[in-house]
Amino acid sequence: MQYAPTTALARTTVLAVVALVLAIVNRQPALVVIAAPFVCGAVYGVMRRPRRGEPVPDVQLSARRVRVGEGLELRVTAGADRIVDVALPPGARYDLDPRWGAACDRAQAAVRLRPHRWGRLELPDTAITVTDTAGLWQTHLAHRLPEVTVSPVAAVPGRGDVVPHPTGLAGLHASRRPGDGSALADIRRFHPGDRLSRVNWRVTSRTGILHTNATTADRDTDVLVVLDTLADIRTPSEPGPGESSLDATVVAAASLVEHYLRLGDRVGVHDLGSLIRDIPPRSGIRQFAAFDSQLARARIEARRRSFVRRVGRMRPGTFAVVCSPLLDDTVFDEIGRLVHRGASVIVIDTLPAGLGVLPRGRRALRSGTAQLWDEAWALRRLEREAPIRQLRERGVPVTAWRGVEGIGVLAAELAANHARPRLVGRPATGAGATG
Amino acid sequence: MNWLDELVADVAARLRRRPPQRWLLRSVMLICGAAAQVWLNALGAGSVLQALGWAVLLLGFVLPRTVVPLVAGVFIVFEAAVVRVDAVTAVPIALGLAGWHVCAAALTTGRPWARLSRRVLRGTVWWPALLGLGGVAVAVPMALVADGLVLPEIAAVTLLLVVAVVLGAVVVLWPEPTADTDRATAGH
Repeated sequence: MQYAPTTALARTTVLAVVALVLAIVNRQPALVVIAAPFVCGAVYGVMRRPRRGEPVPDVQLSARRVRVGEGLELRVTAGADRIVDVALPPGARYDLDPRWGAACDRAQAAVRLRPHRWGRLELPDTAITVTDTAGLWQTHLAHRLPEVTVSPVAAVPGRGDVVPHPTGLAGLHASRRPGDGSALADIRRFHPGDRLSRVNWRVTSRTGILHTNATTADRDTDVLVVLDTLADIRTPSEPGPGESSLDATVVAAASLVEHYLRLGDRVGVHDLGSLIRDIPPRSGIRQFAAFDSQLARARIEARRRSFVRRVGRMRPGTFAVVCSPLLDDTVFDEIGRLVHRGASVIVIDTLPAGLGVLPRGRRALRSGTAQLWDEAWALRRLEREAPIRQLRERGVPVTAWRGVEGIGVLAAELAANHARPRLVGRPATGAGATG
Repeated sequence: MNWLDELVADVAARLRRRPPQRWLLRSVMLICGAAAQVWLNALGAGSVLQALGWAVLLLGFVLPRTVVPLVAGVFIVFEAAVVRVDAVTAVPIALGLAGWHVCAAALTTGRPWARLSRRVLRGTVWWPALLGLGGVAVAVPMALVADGLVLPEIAAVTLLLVVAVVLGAVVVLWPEPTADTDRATAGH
């Protein structure tokens, strides 16, 4: 590192020279008294000049992967006789401590930051200044920080509860079909090919004929969680984490994926936008780790796709949960296609509840763009009513996200809908559509 | 008036970001500079000099990280020369100016909105202040003795000392060539 004199050293040297020169020119020895502290400062600065070849400060980031709300620390360490100043520019996606992102201390300085949104976080270059303890010599460095991945937090009520599966086939639920499983269905005579471990010795010893336990099949089915990441609508009056449609979509999807994986189902994920890649249906909690990892590495700001990416191959009877703010006509079309292909579909509306709600009374007297915003979104909500009603008439439940326990109610409603006559054909979507 | 609103908002935001500790350092800096200026006024500095002195002091208080504190310091030294202070009456001016300089040096450490720890202040404020006090304590008797000497001898000795200091500072503070510079001058 190469050090340079600071303004303090330059100032002390110039004042010493000026005072001494004036003392000679004016023949005023008393001015030497004024020059004395600055002469001492200049000599002190020269004596404390840092040596060449001093190692650069050590810059450490405490974590490369965190969850939303968790903090990480940027720490810069130099020698014990150095003052370290580290500055991280404020950003929209994280909070800083100290508040303005600058810390100055002896030997080491640290800045803590807390991301408040999931996804890939690219931190700006950090500016580091190393000064000697007297503030007379200084060097400047810029350090490029690595990317940080931030996983979403699915902290919703009802997480982990057992929810009835709408099609009756799940890892925790037995089917009515005989097969290899864990639930006892019958005790029958032993046939060649039956497992010896299932022989019922009590009945066999009583009857004298080999009997075996017959079980119903433990089968799983595919659960497909469909995310709509095309839009990211925020409520302007309630800024902060979790108040956007995209955050609600991701939280709902993550909760559902984790919940059904714990039930033993095979869960796949499809993104109608371009934020994450498809995850094929698999069981096991590692599937959630793959989904979590995709979200943590997603670049929210880089979303560009404006058209829906259709769902690919899907087994008939798949239980599909669509998490969407339901603002795009093509999303309604895709939901209709899923129903037409034989999937059991539930739609979760992730549009922020406070958006488009017109205030009453005194609060209604807001002026300017705020009121126009509320009225525009109120109209947009009204425009959505027709296609949502058509979905319900087709037997597709649509509800706002209220946690996993809300899915249980919908699942029961969906099971009941299977026995009811439904409107056939693809619904007409878009504003102005009738019936 | 939009640009004015934005300017005021920007200045207010910058002021709000400064920690209270920095404002305290600025206040001490202003008090030290003001003490030196008040003492010079009491010693009979002219009204024009007084006005200019206060102006540069206030400007240095507003812009401590610039060259203005140096200009203010040089102005006070010139004022002291005009007023023709003696060894004893120069002491308050020396102490005030040293305090002004030390606080300005502390304010240039770190980002303007960074809070300085006690260990940083110990190195940038207390040690230079003690060094300055020691220097003044040594210089006062030297100046009293020099006052009684024959002028040409003192002038020669002082001139030699000044030349030595200036040359030494130029030689020592000149930036050393780095490895990249060497490679460039070698024609690689």
